[in-house]
Amino acid sequence: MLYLFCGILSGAVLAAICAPLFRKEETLESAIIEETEWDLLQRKKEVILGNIQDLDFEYKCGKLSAEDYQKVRAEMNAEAAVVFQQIETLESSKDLDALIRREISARKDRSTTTCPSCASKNPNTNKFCADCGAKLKR
Amino acid sequence: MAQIGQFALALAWVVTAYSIVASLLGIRLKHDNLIASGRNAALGTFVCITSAIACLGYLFAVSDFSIKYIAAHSNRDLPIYFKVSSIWGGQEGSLLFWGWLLTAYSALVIVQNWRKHSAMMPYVVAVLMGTSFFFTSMHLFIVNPFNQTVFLQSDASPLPFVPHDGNGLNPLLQDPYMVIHPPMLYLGFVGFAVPFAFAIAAMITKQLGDTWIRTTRRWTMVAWMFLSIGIMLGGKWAYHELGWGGFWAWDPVENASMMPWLIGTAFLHSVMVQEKKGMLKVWNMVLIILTFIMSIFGTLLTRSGMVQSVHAFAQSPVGGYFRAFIIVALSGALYLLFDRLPYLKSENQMESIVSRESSFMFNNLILLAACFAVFWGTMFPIISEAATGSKITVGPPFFNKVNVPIAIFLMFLTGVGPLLAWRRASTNSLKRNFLSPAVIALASGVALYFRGVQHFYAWLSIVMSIFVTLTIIREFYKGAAARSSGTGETFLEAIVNLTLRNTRRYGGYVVHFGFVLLFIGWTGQAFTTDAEGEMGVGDTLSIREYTLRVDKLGIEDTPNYASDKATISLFEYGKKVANLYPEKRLYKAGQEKQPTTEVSIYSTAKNDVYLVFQGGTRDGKKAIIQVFYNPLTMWVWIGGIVLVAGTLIALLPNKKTILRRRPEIESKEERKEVEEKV
Repeated sequence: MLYLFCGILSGAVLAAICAPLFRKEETLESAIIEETEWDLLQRKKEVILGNIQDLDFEYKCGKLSAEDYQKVRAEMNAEAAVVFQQIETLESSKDLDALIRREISARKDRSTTTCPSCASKNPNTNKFCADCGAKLKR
Repeated sequence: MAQIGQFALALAWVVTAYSIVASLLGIRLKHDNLIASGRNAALGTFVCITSAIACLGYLFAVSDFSIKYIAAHSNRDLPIYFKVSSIWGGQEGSLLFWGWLLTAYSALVIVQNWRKHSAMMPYVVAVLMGTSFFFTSMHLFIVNPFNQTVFLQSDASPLPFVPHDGNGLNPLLQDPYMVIHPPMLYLGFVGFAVPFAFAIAAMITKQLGDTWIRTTRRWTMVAWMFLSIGIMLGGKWAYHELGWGGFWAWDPVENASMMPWLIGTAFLHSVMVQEKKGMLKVWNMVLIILTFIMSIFGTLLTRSGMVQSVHAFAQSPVGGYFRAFIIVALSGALYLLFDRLPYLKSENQMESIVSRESSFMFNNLILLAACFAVFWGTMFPIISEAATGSKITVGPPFFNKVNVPIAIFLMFLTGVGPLLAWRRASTNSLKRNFLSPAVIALASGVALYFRGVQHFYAWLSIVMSIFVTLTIIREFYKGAAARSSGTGETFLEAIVNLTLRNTRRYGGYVVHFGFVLLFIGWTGQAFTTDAEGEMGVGDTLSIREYTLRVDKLGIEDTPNYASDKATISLFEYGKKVANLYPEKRLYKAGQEKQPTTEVSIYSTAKNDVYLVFQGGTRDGKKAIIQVFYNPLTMWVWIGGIVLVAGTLIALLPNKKTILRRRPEIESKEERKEVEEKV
């Protein structure tokens, strides 16, 4: 019983450890994709847009005076414009990685559903049209 | 079975070491298969330690006293659920349990993130397994739970033997809260290893954006939540089991759990500043390193007997190893941090002292100050011994004196912070947000003063609680009103959707409200009173609006313990409200019989009546009964539940906006306008 259990335990663990070593080629692990400049800019864009959305909501809740809101909103708009510009520049460059990413995101964009009511395009994940609220057909 | 456990531990040790080497070597040689092998080894460690802990559980279940740990912490008549909880009832088992949770978390992290964060994960595995290697080494070589029971002969040579019965589990630990308190606490302590590992991996790979923070956000919250539950259950256990009338005594072991909680709380807040504004990057690294180190330090304090504590854990050999591990981990992490400073530059500057980010900064400083005060007070016996040669212990008065004003200021920030705008807030905006809550809170304060609440800190604390509650209500109200006007949802729907659309923010407010309730409960402790009397059958004792009458004094005998028990009727304004049964128990297991007090509590929202059977009089005819009148204590536990509920809300993923079509909004233009508003 003792030997059997110890044998099973060590056998199973050893098999799990050794299995990858005998595989021909592992593609995932060291296809280490570093965070590229494009990634960072995209993230920055998301953050700024999120901040703008938050600011708008807080203004609507009455937490900010009109003066404060307009000032901060203008600053945020300017920051967003800079990031958009940077993304645009990067994507129009001949950097291969950026081009591939642009192609991929273009492919992603194609996976949309057209609204039967107002003909606007929606991501496939939407159940209702973001534009008019009509139910989308799958 | 013990041999299987022993073998599983040895195998875990080898496999953990292999996992570290394979991960690091794999990265160095860019050998994918080796990296994958290291990952599988980490999963293998989990399987090995799980087998070891299952063996230990089995040995407890069958009362195998040939194993020293079982003989020391269990006995035949111990109920089965306490036998299971005995796994973490002593030094060896609780460290094994710590190690097991770490491997379980590691396995979960690997499964969840391996493909998503392929660059960081080999390093994450190496850090987690590095920590695990330390614990596995401890299990195997220093505090092995599978060592045999031995009898030391006259020539000091050990002779294996099997005692007829075990010493039993410490009676203080024979409590339902003690069954779940340690696992919760450890889930918290160990959980902080995950964000720490990601932080180290981020520094090594130089991916120092907010990816590591976003990836570990939920992990940190989960760890924080478990630590909070653990602390609350610890307080509840102390309240029920120790019989001194309170739930928090600033005992070193309590402080051990409080320190990582305080820094973890600071970290949870300051990461938001990094996410929103790309600031405080170095600070966040420092905080997560400190949180992890404090978790290990907490385990060291609890387990080494370094500082005397009511938990009375004996001196043990683990202290030196823990200290060495802390020094290695801390210096390694700080070296890395120092080396990566150029990559951790802030993307923005603090624009104004009156802003959300500066309030977070204040909150961080305050939490750190509280942590330092707790650390200083806890370590003072050791510091004073080093400086003067004599151990001086500082008691609750020191901690209360320092921490009560800190906590009240923290409460103030809890109310102010969420209402301040990011970047800067003008006087006009401040007036809009603070005028009404501040005026109402102050007016209530004046009313309270004239109704007799004149203890300064208690008064301030209640005023702050009212202020913070009002700001929280205001946040929900304004948010729901804005949403409902845009979407046509009812107010209640708007509150629910508002919360579900930004779970982190509104869950956070619920957590803040839980904190307010906790605070109210704590404040009640300022008004605790007590009375004591020698009472025979028919005797009465009064405290405030309550009167106690002893109806019966008796003896109870069970296989596990014998007890003196009183049956007491409790009257409120002369009307009977409860029967209470305080006991004094004597546990039979072991050579030294161990007495405990089993308190009996009548609990209402207004106050607790807390009875302790102190013992019998010399002639044995009367019982010495102590009664505590503890105002508002129930709110501590309710606050804890609300705090956990808020964290659970914050853990939910945000719901995407789906706008309902409102009948009166017909045209597309109108709809767009509404969307823009929302």
